[in-house]
Amino acid sequence: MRPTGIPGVFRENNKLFTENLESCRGIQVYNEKLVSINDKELRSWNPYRSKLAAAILKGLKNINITSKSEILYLGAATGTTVSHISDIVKDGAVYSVENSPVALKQLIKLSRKRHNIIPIMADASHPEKYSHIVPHVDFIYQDISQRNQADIFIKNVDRYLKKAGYGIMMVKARSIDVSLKPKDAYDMVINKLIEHKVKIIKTIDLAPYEKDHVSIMISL
Amino acid sequence: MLYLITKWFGTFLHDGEKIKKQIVFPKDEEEIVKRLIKIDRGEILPEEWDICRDVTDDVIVNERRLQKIGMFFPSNLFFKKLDVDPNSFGFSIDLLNRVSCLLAEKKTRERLMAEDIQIIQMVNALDDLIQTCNLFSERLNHWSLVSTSEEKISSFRNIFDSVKKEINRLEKQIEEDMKRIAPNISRVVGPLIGARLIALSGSLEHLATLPSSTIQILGAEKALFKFKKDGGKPPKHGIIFQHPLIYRSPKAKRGKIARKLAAKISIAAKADFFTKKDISDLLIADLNRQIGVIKNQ
Ligand SMILES: C[S@@+](CC[C@H](N)C(=O)[O-])C[C@H]1O[C@@H](n2cnc3c(N)ncnc32)[C@H](O)[C@@H]1O
Repeated sequence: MRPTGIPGVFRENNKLFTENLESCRGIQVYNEKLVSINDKELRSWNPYRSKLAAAILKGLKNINITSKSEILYLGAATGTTVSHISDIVKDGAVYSVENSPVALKQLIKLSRKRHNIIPIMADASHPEKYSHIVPHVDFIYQDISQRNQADIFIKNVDRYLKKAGYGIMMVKARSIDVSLKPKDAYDMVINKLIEHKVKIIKTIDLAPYEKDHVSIMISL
Repeated sequence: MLYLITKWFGTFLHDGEKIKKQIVFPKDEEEIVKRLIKIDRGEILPEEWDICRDVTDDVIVNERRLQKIGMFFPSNLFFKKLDVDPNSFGFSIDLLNRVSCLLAEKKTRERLMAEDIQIIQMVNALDDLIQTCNLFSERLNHWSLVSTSEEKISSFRNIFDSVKKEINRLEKQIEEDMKRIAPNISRVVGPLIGARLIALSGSLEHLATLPSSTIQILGAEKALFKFKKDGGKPPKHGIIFQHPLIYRSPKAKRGKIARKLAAKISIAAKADFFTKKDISDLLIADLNRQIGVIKNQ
């Protein structure tokens, strides 16, 4: 087991782990393995369930998140990835936006155990609706598989991302346009980001963990 | 010029350099949630009125709901830079965590109920209309037998036609909504019977937790009650009798088929409510196979 350069994230061969929150010892979120090493408890991070884990295994070295970061997460679903980010930003916060009430029910349960998750029931395409809760953040994460996800991402970056902030967008080619080749769908998204003065840092294909998906890392 | 900004912990007037005036909310999650719900509904908080009272400067706001208090400039650049730190007012992330859990819980409950209530109301309205339509058609028949002039009947006939149109419209709407909210149920028994099952059980959530033996006889409560009181035969099927798989089958096989269908509806309801995965292809294939076996017995 060795550190990855990302605080709170460890690696053994092709397996990733995050250090469990002190207050959540012994609690699994999605049946992941718990491992105790020295005085730490580590949770295995499944790249087939979480695209961020896939991106890290595929070579994303610096995600520019520290233990104090404040993150805006769009498309939190039931909180699989959110829980690992919550491990990483143990002294920060994950503002987790999700608009499906059924998914949110489970996310709320998770948030009751994890003090740094702020669950928000809202549509990410109306960022003004959560401005009373969300502050300016260090990082914006988006995984919503919607055709207009680039527009939604830009609106949120514009409103909430700090000047020196970063972000990641997970893009599924099929949700952008089924009739396009994946490469062309990604280019469409990337061009839209560049048009809005967002800088592209790195694009990573998530195969074999996800088919026809990329992660796009950006900064302002 | 003053900028009015409201956050989950209070409302503030900012002059561009520093906060000039502030009213912080009570450090209590229920109190804060009450205010956030008001904001969600587009209302103005008493604190927001109060903070602007006796202020002589122009007040600028970036929320439409605050238009009555100040000038609405949604894209004013200053708001983009402006942020107020909750910690400096003694509000912790732990409190926000509790606030947001409570608020999200209320909102999810409302949303889930709202969707079910819509469907249930539409199904009830549909049944009212169908009943009305039957009454009208009977009346029209009788009337035209004895009537000497078509003219007198025609305006009544117009109402009858619009009732029929409304039935069509409602059915389409229910189908559309059901396919979105409950795609699995819609495939397995059809959106209309599915909607009636939701109406009979009270909500999709409740339907998803019912045993399939109960789903099988939903809508046959009267018959079940009679059976419990007077004995005789228990009902074999409720509303699902309206499905052609059952009413087109020989009487002797209806009970068995109803049981298989109800079992699939139960799985479909669980998938629709809990996992939201579309597993209807699997369910239909499995059901068809089971029914093939029963028919060949
Ligand atoms: C692929 S799932 C996210 C999985 C999650 N990020 C994880 O790794 O654990 C996409 C989620 O985005 C949500 N979603 C889609 N459109 C949205 C919108 N406009 N606003 C908020 N959430 C949205 C969906 O309800 C769904 O739960």
